Amino acid sequence: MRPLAYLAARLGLGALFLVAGALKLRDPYAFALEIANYQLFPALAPWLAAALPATEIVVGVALVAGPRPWARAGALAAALLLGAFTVAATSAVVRGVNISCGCFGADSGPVTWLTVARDVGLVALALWVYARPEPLPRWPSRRPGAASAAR
Amino acid sequence: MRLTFERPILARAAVLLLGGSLAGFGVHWLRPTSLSLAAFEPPTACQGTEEGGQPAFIEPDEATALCGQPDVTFADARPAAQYAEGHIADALHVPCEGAVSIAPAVGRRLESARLVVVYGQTSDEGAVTAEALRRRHPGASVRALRGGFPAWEARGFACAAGPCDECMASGPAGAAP
Repeated sequence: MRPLAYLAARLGLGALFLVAGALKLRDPYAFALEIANYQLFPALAPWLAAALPATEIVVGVALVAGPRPWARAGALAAALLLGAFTVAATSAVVRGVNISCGCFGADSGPVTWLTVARDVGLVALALWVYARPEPLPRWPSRRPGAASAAR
Repeated sequence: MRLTFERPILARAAVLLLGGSLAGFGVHWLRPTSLSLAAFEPPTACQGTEEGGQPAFIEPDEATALCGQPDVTFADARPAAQYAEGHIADALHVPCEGAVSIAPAVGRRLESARLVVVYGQTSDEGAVTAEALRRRHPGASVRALRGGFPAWEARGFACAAGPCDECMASGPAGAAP
């Protein structure tokens, strides 16, 4: 059961990063505006808008398709990115800045405490994937006698 | 759950983050987009134009001579209901908020246009959206119609009615409240 939960968490997190990266990649200008709206480091907004989508896709690929050491590294990188997103979202909510979160590109809905809670949950999930490098579940072999030999 | 940070995994995570960032800059360099890393200016979004950022105006008589030219695009900055009631023939519906996040088909038309003429209900309404468009598409030539749509209509120039099907981002602009 545990290897399946690990696999689901790893693939789910990876798919989330792939989708988020791909959606942000569609319109870098709109994403740069979303970042600038956080009013944290507006001068960095275009640089982050250019770098983040591809980074998310690379991390997503590592989680979905990477060998185990790379998947763990992907989970750690995902936790770092999500940690940074959590800090930015918390700062926006605390300051009362009413902006779109930009989590999945333009028009992703407003930043609220729910966004912060979701990000915290995802950080915990990423750290769990990093800390529990379970072996992936094995498919039963089709070779005759392989199943009994494995026992 | 016990977290231990092993050096090989940390190194791989750094490779993923740095490699992803470099790939992002590579994609940005290869792909033509309206985002300029060095000269990015967030629009002052729909709250007035900054001093010095005021776009040039165009007179209705001059604009009508450009009407129908394939490389000139008219953009209507008024609310959807006003656009649906009547607008300059072939004008796109691009309200100021829409100037920031634009439907891909509209973005392509604006980027390929030699000149974009923006109008609102007043000169100022058109000018604010023109400024937002100018920042969104730094290479485009954008001018605001002096006197807005009333000035155009008063001269009896070509008009059309109905929603803008081309301007759909998540739904037809004409269907928006």
